[in-house]
Amino acid sequence: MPAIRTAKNRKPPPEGFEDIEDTLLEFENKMKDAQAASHEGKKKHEMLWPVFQITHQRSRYIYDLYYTSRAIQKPLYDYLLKHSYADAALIAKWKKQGYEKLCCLRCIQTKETNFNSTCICRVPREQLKEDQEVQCVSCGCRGCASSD
Amino acid sequence: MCLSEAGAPEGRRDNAARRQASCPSSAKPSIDDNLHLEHSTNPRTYGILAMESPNKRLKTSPPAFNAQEDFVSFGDVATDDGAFGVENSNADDEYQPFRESAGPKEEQRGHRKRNALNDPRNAKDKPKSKHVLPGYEPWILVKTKYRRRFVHNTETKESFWFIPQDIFPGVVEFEKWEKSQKEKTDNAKWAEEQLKQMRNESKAPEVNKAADEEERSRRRRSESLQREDEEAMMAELAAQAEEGEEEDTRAAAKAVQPLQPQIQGAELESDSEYEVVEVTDSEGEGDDEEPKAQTENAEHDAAEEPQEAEDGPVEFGEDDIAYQLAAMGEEYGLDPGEYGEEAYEGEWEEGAEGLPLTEEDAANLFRDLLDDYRISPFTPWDRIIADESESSILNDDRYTVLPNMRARKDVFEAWVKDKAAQIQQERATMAKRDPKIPYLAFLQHNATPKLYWPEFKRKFKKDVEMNDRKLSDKDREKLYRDHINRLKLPESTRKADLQTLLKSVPLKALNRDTSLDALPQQLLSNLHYISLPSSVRDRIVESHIKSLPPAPEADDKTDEQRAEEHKKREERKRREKAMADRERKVEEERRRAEKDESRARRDLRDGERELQAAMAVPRTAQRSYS
Repeated sequence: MPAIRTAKNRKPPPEGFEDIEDTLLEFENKMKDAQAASHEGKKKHEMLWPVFQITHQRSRYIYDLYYTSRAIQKPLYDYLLKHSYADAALIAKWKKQGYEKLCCLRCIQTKETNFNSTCICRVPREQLKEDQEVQCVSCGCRGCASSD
Repeated sequence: MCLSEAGAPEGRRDNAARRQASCPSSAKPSIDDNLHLEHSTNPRTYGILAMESPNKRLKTSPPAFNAQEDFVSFGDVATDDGAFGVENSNADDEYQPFRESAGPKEEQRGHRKRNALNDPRNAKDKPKSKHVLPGYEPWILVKTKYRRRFVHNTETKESFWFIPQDIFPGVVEFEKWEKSQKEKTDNAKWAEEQLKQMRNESKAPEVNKAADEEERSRRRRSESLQREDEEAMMAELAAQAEEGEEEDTRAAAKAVQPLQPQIQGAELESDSEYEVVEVTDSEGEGDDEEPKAQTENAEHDAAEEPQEAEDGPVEFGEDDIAYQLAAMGEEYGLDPGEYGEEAYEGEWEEGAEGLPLTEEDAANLFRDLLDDYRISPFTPWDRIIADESESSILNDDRYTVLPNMRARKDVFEAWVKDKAAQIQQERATMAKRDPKIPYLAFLQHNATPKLYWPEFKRKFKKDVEMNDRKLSDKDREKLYRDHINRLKLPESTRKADLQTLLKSVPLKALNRDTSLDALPQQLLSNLHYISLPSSVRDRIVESHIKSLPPAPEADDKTDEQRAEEHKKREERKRREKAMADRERKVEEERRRAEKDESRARRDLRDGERELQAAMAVPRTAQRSYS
């Protein structure tokens, strides 16, 4: 969650923040909606999925801007990480081979599962059965193996 | 001889049987894709089938078609496949009667089949158009590339070269209608041509001579056309006569075949350009006469298409794919001309060929699209394609030039990279604008001594100038308070301040050529500039500008540089002055020290003299006392 800026602690953000401000605001609004959404008719886990998904999307957006298209500069990127616009730990995973499309950090946390293994969404599609549809419990991911 | 005679009808039969299996499927390609489509798409099936009869494949595929590996394979599949061939087509129940009648001649088939493959028409013929027969609904009339035709029942999937009696009136009606349509189009074309010429004439009425010439030539043309018409009629008559001969032979066959009615003759009379293929349901009965008729027909064909390769292979796959493409084209409302009349040889596939755009063109078009829609490179791709409004890029034709979403995304990413780099470069070269300037302009408009800063801030908290992050809140407050204080000063002071400010601006930035809209930032960002009401201020600035000399020309130094130089000079002056001071001080010091020294020396000398004088007196005194 981005820090709340008041008039007192306001310090101008680095160059280029205005360009992405609208998109970030949109993500923020989406996140607010997801947090305020009703739990009616949803599974217990399902409530959290949109939150994870929006976090992923926003982190991916910033990651792409900095690493792929190089549209933002280092100061701004650091600023965004500092203000939790993007999940630095998740981005750190994306830089590693085999984790390029990782959906969330919970899905690779082996210690939290019964069989000490990663989530089902980490399994490459060719290793699944034909027409097997998966959706993981932790974030609602349908498959995030790098080969998919 | 025996072989060739027997082969011709067999070939036709073979062909017909195949067509009955394949054409009905291709007539409605989207709904009932039966065996044919399966074989054309399933390579595994093909492999097995081809292996079953390797010898045949070797014989039937001539070198000319080896170049097109794909199609050879199709052809082979189709010939070897039981469902399409005649030999072991037990799988297909519809053609049971044929098979039964053909049963006894099983051992001849091997030879005949090869001849069937040699039939030139079998090689290249394919369905070209289909027509609904009004009133005979499930039946449609299908015309082939070589202007043969057959009827097909879309419901039962039956196809007949011979038109059954109960459908015949419908076909005749259709022929009539078609003929009238053709006449109509011909007339329309003629009228259009005439009209065009008339228009050309009216365009240039002054060129009478030319117009006359035109007129004459037109008349000549119309005459020649008439002549052509006559010739065509004569030719038709002759053809009818020819067909009449054929009819005689066929009449013999008819006598033996009560199943085949006068349909054939009637057809020939109604439209002589149609060659009627006799594919009999009762081959066994009319065995003697049939071959004769068929060979005649075959000869006729050979005369029609002498350019055909004699040993062309049967290409089922290609034909049917082409037909399906054509049908799809019709479905999508393409011009039938694209698949139509001229496409007799080879050109058939051209209408259905892919995009003329190269990949690069397509990518560039897509980039243009992104540029034209002023898409920000900082927008996520998901949001762009989720946009369903009127102004979305999804509604643009250029969106479809790229084949799939992945390609689009790739192009978009490359574009974002380039665009972001471009924007960064532009920003770097663009001069930085002082954030104070818009705020000061805003103050001049809105600030009044009646409002304290918190009130003012609350009142205008929604304005852009009040939320600009480049200017801190503290600075804003300070500027506001200063400005309000200055507004309370007498106007003469404010005017004087403005004058001094104007004078302080270097000539490079402010000179006679400067317009009021492009005043230097140094001026605009100063609080003194907004202290006066704008009308008064503008008058003062204008008069000041008029009094200024023009801009210095051969001075390529910027203001900053000049300021720097000035600073350096000042510094140096200060340093020199300081040094002079120090020297003076040192000199003084030295002089004082010298003075002190000389004084001390004098004192010392005085003391010595006194001492000597004192020493001289006591000696005499001592002598006197001793």
